[in-house]
Amino acid sequence: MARALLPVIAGQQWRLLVRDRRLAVLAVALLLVLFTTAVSAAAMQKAREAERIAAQAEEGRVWSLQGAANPHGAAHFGRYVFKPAVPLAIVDPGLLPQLGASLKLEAHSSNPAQNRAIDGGTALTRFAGVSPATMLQLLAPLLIILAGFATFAGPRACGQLRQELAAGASPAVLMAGRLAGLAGTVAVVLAVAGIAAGAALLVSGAGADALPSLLWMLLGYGLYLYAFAALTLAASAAFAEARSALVVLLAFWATATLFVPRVAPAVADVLAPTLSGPALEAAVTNEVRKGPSGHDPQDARLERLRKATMQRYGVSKLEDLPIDFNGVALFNGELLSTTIYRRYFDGLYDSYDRQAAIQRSFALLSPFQAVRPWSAALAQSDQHAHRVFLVQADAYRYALVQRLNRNIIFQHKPSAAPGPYLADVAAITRDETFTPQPPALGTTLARHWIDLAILAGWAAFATALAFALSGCLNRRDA
Amino acid sequence: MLEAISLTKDFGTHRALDGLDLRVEPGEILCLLGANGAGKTTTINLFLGFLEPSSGEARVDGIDVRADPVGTKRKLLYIPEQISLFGELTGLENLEYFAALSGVEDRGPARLRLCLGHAGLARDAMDRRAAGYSKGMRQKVGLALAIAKQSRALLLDEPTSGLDPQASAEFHELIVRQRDAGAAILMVTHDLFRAREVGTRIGLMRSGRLRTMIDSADITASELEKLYLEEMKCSD
Amino acid sequence: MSLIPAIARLERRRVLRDRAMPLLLLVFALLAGYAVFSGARWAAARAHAVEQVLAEADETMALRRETFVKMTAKGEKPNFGLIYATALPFRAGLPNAPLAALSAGQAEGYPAAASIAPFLDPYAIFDAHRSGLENPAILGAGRFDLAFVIVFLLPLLLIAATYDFWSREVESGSARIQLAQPVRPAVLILTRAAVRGAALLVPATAITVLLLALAAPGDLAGLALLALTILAYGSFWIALAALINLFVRSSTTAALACGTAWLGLVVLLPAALAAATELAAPAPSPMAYANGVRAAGLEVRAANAKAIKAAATAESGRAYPATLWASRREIGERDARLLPLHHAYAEGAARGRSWADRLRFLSPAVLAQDALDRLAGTDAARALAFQDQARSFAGQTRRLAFDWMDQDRLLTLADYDHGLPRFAFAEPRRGIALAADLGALGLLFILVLALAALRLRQGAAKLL
Repeated sequence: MARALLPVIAGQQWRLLVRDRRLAVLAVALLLVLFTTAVSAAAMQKAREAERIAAQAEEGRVWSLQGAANPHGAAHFGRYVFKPAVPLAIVDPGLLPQLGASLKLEAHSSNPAQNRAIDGGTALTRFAGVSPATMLQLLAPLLIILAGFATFAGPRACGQLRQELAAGASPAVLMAGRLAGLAGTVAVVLAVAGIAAGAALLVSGAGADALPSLLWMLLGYGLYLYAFAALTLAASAAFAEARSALVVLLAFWATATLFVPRVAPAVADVLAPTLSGPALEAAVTNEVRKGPSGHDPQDARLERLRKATMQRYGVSKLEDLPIDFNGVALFNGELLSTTIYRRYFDGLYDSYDRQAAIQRSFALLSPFQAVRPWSAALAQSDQHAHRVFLVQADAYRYALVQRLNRNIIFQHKPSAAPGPYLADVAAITRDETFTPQPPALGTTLARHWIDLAILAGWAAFATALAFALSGCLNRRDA
Repeated sequence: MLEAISLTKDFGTHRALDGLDLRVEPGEILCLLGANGAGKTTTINLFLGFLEPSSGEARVDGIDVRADPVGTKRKLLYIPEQISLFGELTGLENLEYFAALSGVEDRGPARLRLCLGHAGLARDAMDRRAAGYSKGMRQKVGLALAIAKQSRALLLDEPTSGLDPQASAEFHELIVRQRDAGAAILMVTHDLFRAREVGTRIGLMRSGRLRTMIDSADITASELEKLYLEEMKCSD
Repeated sequence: MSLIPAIARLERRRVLRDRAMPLLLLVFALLAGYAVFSGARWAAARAHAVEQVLAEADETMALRRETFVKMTAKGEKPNFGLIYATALPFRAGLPNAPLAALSAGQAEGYPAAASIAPFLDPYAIFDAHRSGLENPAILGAGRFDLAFVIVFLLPLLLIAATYDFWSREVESGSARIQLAQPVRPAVLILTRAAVRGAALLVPATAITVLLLALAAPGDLAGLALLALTILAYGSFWIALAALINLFVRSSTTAALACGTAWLGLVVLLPAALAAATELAAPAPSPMAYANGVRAAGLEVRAANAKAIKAAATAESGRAYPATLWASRREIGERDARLLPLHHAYAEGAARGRSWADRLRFLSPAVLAQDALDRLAGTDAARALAFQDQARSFAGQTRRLAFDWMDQDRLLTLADYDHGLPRFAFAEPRRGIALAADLGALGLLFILVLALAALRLRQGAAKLL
């Protein structure tokens, strides 16, 4: 009997939702905005990617423009790499506005990426752009709350409830049916989001490769929005007055999507602080100067290198070396500074990961803290994807600089040709190419399975709460 | 005291009130009866200035309501079917507030308690928060305002709907006292028997028109009921 | 006789007995307290980072002085960077304004320091300081500062306090009996909205000003303007809630409408304005700019290659070597060649900012944010003023170095002890922009009130 009632109740709930004009207007408006933001983001991304490809080609031409140049000078002139677009950033731009898109690769330096979208803005910049992810993370839960808060609460709903209970439906069945009906709203939102994202991927020219990630993303959003649906009905069952249910739900929504996401990073920063830019640079410079142990100054290291090199080639004077010792010094200097920089940056990124773990612990208070990293990771617009890019870029930088240094070592004969050494730097570095590879989907899923588990946990908890509170419906006075 | 002169109100193509002419003199109670949608509440709303007439006039003490909505309200007291008081305030505090709005000058607690007492509200209820009041108690606060205001005209819109018989009887006793004090009272009600008991005259309305006006003294309760049912059966 | 005191008294009584009100105030106080703590911490970290940069120059000079002394003691002549004015390191830093804890504003989108060297392109002095190493996740989440609490959360609290102040009465029937009293609907409804709203807004303003004064004492004028900003912005939201209540008949519809208004005005409208700005004045391409600057630099280098090569082995016959004289000529040509590129890029960015500045008048949230940023000294205008002044200082240091070259003057120990010229930031004026923000907020408030007045004129029937 109960099973037979379920589709009836669910269908009734769905009918009520669809016929609520206020809700329909709001839902259509929000979904329209979702669609518009997705498609316009796609168009912009397509244009920017075309611009990036052209700019990268031009950068290569500028590198070649050096002609005959001193290789070490060229190593300082450096190269620029411009970060390629990620297809699903259309759906979730994640941290991309805070991450730079241009990277200068040069000797003895590990530069942060420049030209962030947040640079050079005004007060308007403070209001983050609305993306499909914003809609799904922030606004869709609000829509669900507004759709469902008066389901069991309020004088009209209470009156209807008495009639339904009197007709023989149990509170649990009523709750299950209503939940199924409200979950229909979630399904519609996800369907529109999926179609919008698919259309956006088409417009941007991305292939079908992004589809598996999109589906995983939508799974996370489905659990997230379902949790809100169940919590909404739980509150509606708990409070006889619709006003009370609404206030409690809005307070939860504001806490979960506005407060906690801002407080969590600040707390993480206090508990696991990271080095500032100047502090990191100072620490690296200090280590380079004094050596990693702190007691091995540069000039002593240089002296040891000189002796070792002369011993290796069996000469007693630098001038007798068949190679250019300056190149050797540069090579070893680059090796040391790169090793030190990589160690510090690994430490920095590890502390970012520690901060992320602290932030994740706030998911006990807010499912937003799980869906946001999940979504950004699958869109490859998070810190880790950027780290992968930076590590690959640094590997390219190191290979490039050492190639130039090796050229100095083996091609420059100081005794034979006095004066500055010039070489065709473009020819020297022609074989070094940079083709960044994004993290594989499997790796992303392995790193973030906890977030999906948390979302599933919230969905389960919210469902259990809704059914537990459905018992209040029996005691409801109209 | 309360006068409707060819009062008409249209809502789009629907004529809710059609050329109503009536007059309620001081010291009389005119009861308006009729089915739902007959135009009774529309009449009340026009006297209150909540609606603008499509044509005709509603006058309070000779003043056109449209010309001086605030001034005419000063002479009126309105008791709706549901008097909603401010639940967080006591009965006394609610009366103080509404008396202030009504322009009552003497609003000292002693006088207001007296008014509440005259209206039948128990002493211990006066300082209790209105959120716990029964409907009858809320109606008494409404009447207390009439006493405090010494209103010359009362508009009552089904004031005893939902009251138990004793509370209903008490309430009618109080409005009779107001009538005897010289107030002109226009009361909309479904209670035929009470209307005949307390009303001076009874008007039957249907489809926005006043069909019949009779003196209560000239009709028995059962005759009134028969007349009412016949009137309601008629089609235009 | 005015009924306003009686109506105000009633509403005050109701507010005092409303259990939600103290809760809302407590929530606000906690949020504001945390925001001040968080903002003060951010401001202190920023100031420390700038101090570290400024200290770099002093540390470099201290190290050089040490080497200078050692060499002199050994009987060696100090050389190269130890004696040439062209190698002097300078730094410029943007100090925090007194109320920096109020808002992080745009501070993180602009460099707060400059590393200056006489031969360095004045437009490249900020390159090392454009992006820090703050966790992007923290930047992405947004700073939990007072500006966030005021611009985003205060409206939510005001809405919670006022969203159904009249619609609830309509729903319960109390509105009929109130409007049946001899009082003008406008007086009744607007007085009640004002008292209810002020019951939250005035203490919230006082709490905010007090907390900030504790964290950042001294700027009384700034605090007074802060109070004015909060009152203006809050009044707008109270008026809006009142306006909505004049159109809806139930509490739940009022909640929906007020919530939608918040979403629209605080989230969607600013995003739409930002998109409009991008369409009207797209940002110039930083990639094209970087390529252009590098290509132009190479052209100048190529044109001077022979002279540089010759200078490597030539004798200048002066205190400064031939290479430095050749470099001096080259950088003059380089800067002249790059200046149009820098200007074009800066103008492109300025066009975008100009559009954004104009469009801000359409959004109360953006206006409030802008006013708070200016009060905190973290606005774009102040950051750009710093850049102009730092470049000007860079010009002065270059002139100093060139004068010394011309005078064949080399650094001595006394010069090390005398210390470097220091950059001093001159605060730009902010009065006009602030007045525009506050005036616009006031105008928006009046506009909403005017709409409410129009609705109220339609009579009591529209209000029931």
